[in-house]
Amino acid sequence: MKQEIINYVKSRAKSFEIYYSEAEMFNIEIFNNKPNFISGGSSRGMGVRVIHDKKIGFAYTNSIDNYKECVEKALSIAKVSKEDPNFKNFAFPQKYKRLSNINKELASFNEDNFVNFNEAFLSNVKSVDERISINSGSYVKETEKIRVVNSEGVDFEEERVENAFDCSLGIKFEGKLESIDMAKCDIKKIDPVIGIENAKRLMGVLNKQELSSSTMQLLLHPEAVSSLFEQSFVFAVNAENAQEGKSVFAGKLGQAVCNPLLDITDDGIAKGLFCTRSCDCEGTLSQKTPLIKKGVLKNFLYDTYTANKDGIKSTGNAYRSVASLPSIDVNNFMISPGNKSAIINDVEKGLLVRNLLGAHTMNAPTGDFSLAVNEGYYINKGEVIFPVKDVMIAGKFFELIKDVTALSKEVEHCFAGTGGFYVPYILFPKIAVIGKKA
Amino acid sequence: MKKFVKLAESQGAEYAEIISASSERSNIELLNKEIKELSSGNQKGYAVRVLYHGGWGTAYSYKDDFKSLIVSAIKKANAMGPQIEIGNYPAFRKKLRTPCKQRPEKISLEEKKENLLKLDNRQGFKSVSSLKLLYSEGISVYSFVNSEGSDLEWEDYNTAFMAWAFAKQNGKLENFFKIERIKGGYEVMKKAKAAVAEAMQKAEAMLNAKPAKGGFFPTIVDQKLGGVFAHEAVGHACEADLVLNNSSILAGKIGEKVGSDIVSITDDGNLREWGWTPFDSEGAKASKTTLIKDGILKSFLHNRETAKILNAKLTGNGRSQSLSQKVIPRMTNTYIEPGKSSFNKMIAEIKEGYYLKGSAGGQVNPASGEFLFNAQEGYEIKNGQIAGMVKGVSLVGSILQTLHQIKMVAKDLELGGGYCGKSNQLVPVSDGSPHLLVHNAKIGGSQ
Repeated sequence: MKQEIINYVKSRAKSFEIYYSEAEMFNIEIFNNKPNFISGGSSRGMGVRVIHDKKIGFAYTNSIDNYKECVEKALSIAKVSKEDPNFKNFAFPQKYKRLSNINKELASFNEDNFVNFNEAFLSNVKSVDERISINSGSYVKETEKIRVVNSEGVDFEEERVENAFDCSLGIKFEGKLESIDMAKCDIKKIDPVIGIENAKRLMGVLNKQELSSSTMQLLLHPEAVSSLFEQSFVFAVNAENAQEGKSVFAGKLGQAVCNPLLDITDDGIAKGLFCTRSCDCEGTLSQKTPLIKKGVLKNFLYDTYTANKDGIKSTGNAYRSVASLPSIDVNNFMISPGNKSAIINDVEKGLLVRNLLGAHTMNAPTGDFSLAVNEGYYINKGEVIFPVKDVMIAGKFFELIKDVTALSKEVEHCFAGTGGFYVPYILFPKIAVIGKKA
Repeated sequence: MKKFVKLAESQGAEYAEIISASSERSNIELLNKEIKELSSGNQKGYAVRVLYHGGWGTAYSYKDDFKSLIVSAIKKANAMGPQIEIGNYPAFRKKLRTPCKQRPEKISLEEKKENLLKLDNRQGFKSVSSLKLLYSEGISVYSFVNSEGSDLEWEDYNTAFMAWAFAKQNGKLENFFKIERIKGGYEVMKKAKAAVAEAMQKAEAMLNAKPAKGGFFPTIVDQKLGGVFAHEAVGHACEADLVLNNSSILAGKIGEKVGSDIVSITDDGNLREWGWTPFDSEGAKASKTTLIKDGILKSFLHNRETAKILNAKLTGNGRSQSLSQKVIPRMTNTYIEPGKSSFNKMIAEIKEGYYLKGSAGGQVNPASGEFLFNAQEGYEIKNGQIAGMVKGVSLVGSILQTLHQIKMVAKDLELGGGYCGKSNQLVPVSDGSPHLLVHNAKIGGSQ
């Protein structure tokens, strides 16, 4: 970002914040085993917040050469806005330590490397069963450099590179199509060998069977844990939702809101994890924030505005793009593991759920859900009996998390929400399962 | 821009598109009469898409340096082996502007803000604890030229209004949202007052709603939810890329009976609804495509690539969310054609069942055919009468079965706008339907 932009904003507003971003990206789509589309390009932009008479205006542009127009727009917006007594300041400068996730091998990973990865991945898939295909898949890599400058003295720059790969593996088996979705994963850690593991997983969902309606134990795979917690729990610990009375956790700090087996932390500083960053999008240092300790609510997640409103320090959870104002989201969302090494042995009669159809349709504030099981298995006496079809589960999320039987020792990284969910399997004593007609 | 098409061809591109897009957006968000956001911004982008040696390559930037974008797009396409061919189609030259009754840029931000503030009137709604009101507008200009000689320009206007109410009573918390979206201008606000009242009234009513019983029931779905049914249960499985990559249960079933005689489903990008796509992202003209006629599967939805492989007519369904993404077959405005029945006749048929209204979204696994959609509100039906409200209700079905379970179709077709997600891309679509009676619908409830 040119110094003249900063100078200009300074000359026009006493209180301001500039968020600047430059990014390079490429995207590859796989169709029927092979990449058949590659795109790449660059983007940049700036978003400016200014305060005029205690009123805030926000404007953004990607025509950086017209930065003056953008700043004037923000000022004119501020003039018609309303005074906000809760707005006190932008983030204050802090001592920044570099924690970013720049990985040299990943930074140089290009289209040709991906085409090679895909070939090796495909041959691993085929080694399990020749009939399996990669129906579709996609790979995205983005390198982004951001800079935040504000009138409190913050001037912070950070570069990150991230990538993700997901695909759908399918097979035509006895005239029927079966498929599994391989959720997004971080290709810097993966090896084409994951093709074998996922092809075996696909072979395990052939011959799906119906299940009778009943109430049984529910074992959620980390992917399903992530998608349910990302919808409802993340909404509830968002300080803005609590302040606005939209969170069921509002006013419950220090109270038990979950089962005592649950310990949940938001961690922005853990080394090498997906959402680890030196500071958030406003320039507040990342930190480790306990959310739930032995079932008791310890903290909400804050950005600068909501923290000022509650008279405390921001937890460094502001996320944004150039074209949007900061909003609160989780960094690395960690549910502490339990002590069960083979948690499935604790299931007498139950349902193991890995992938849910319609998780985004659950009512985030209330936690009411009624979802279809896209990948699930019937378990009896600790053993997988068969993969299920046409099964729904329904319940209330905030009741569910009060009654937990056990957590697994192993933790998996899942790409829900902001991308950094590190959670175990969770076993619940009961869930309403709606299956075939009796 | 046309000369760059020639330049791409001279460098070996079998087919090229040169595109520029710019947009201006403004948002106003109020929470309990406080301003949460007042913002405005603009973005411009330029892209080159080529088919080169049988692969699609796209390069894009914030700079209109088409020469280097062509080089980069060709290089990307060349990194893959030859796979794709496309057909030849007629050229279109057209300038379009979305008709607006009230051009949004002619009304000041201040006036829009004041109008929004006035809408927060809680009189008569004692339990409403929080009300969020949101207005947004977008004006975008899209220019497209391609190897066929098409030259298109579209100045598009879209506006949206949302009311999201929370109600609290005796420690219980409920919420309800109502969204209105149009291809058009500030006239969207004509529906705002009713939308706010509905959001507050329903949020309060939900405080007394009970969980639904899970099981199998005769169920009436309203126009919104019926529309989601058309979209999830039929539309996705008709997208030709899914048909071609072993991901659709409807593959190979054209000409077969897949639903009851009274079910006909259409996708039509010409309708000026939220999914209006007069020309798709590849410059193909919108068409009215019959997916199902009287229960028989008739055709799929195509982009250039899939139409060539299946030797089918181009339907104008090639869409991408942004300049950087792949153009894939997507729905536009998808709806169940009106029938002969009525809501009153349907409800009279039901002894014990449900009436489900509004959509909180849906999802399908088009390969297995299983789909789910979630109702915003639900009511028990007892002996032909609407009884108590229920909440958290979804309906699950399987494509080939549920289409046969539609027993009655009313005359009262309505469409509504939303966004559809596929392959990490969101595009605006409309879904619609008349009221439908589904026999033996599978309902998920926690009671």
